[in-house]
Amino acid sequence: MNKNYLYLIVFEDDTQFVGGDYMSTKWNEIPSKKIKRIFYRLPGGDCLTLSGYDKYYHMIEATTDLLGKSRGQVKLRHAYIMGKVADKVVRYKISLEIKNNKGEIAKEFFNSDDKEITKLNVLGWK
Amino acid sequence: MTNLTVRVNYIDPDIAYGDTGAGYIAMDLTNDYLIWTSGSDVVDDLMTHEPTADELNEASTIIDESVPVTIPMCLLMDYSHNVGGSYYTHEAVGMGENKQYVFDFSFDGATATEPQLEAWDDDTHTTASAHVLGNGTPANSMVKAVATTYALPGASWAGTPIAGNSNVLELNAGGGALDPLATGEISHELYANIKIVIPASYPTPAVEQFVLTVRYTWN
Repeated sequence: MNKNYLYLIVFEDDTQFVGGDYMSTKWNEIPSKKIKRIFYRLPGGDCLTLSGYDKYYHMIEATTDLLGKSRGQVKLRHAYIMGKVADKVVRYKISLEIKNNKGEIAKEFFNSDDKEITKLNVLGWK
Repeated sequence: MTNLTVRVNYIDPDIAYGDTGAGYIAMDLTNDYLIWTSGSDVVDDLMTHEPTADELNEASTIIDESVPVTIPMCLLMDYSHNVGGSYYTHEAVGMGENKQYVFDFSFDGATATEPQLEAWDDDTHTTASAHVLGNGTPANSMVKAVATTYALPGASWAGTPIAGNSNVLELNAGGGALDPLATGEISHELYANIKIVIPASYPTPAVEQFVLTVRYTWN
């Protein structure tokens, strides 16, 4: 996978969609088609593959300090890529902070009615 | 990416951003900062110089033996000092009061989750143990915040004590993530009021800095 892409989507009809980057992800430009597989590039260059899910979700988490020595900076904290099948969700939480084990991945499991899932903007499920 | 702009109301806290008669200053988040103070003859609204540390210390709030004290004034230190004349400070009008439009958190697009306001000791976001943040107990944080986008906070509002990641303020008042902008809309405005309340007889006088943080997401 070209290392310049954050993710690559392969649809059931074998067409593809190339994602953007952390700041301009293009996630909301994904065509409304059934996704077969997502190749998600990790900070270290390796690739995480998700497939077999009904829906997928992606988001970037950032903070901006109003006070303090880092005020004004947009700091990327985590990337999340998720897959949902039936009432189960698998979430990969990827650290984007150099000082906090950048690239470290936490794999977590949720039910669809868990608050961590219900708080998500439903428009982001693809 | 969704971008954040923070504005301080310096004219009328009953008027939303963009409405007739509104007066807000967009914070230059790199150079501007907020000061909670009791004020003095020197430290006040419309200063013509940046307050010094000594001046701020002299304007510190006195702990009361019997009753909690709400720090009466919040000043925006405006590094560019180019609003209304060459003034370095502008009072955040309505801070701590039953006022709706004091601090404006403006997002220029959708978010994946509800934005939230947090308070930390410093920019590492690993501890929230300063005295002003509850001295290790987040529920005791003196920094109280309330989301006011949809309603006034009420007289003598208590607010949410914010400290660390366990005590945060949901900036959309629990209404969830922000949807894509409607046609003709250029931003979502979320309002909050933020005050600092020192408990009666608090045993440890201090001059502390803390970090206010907005955490937000985008798809």
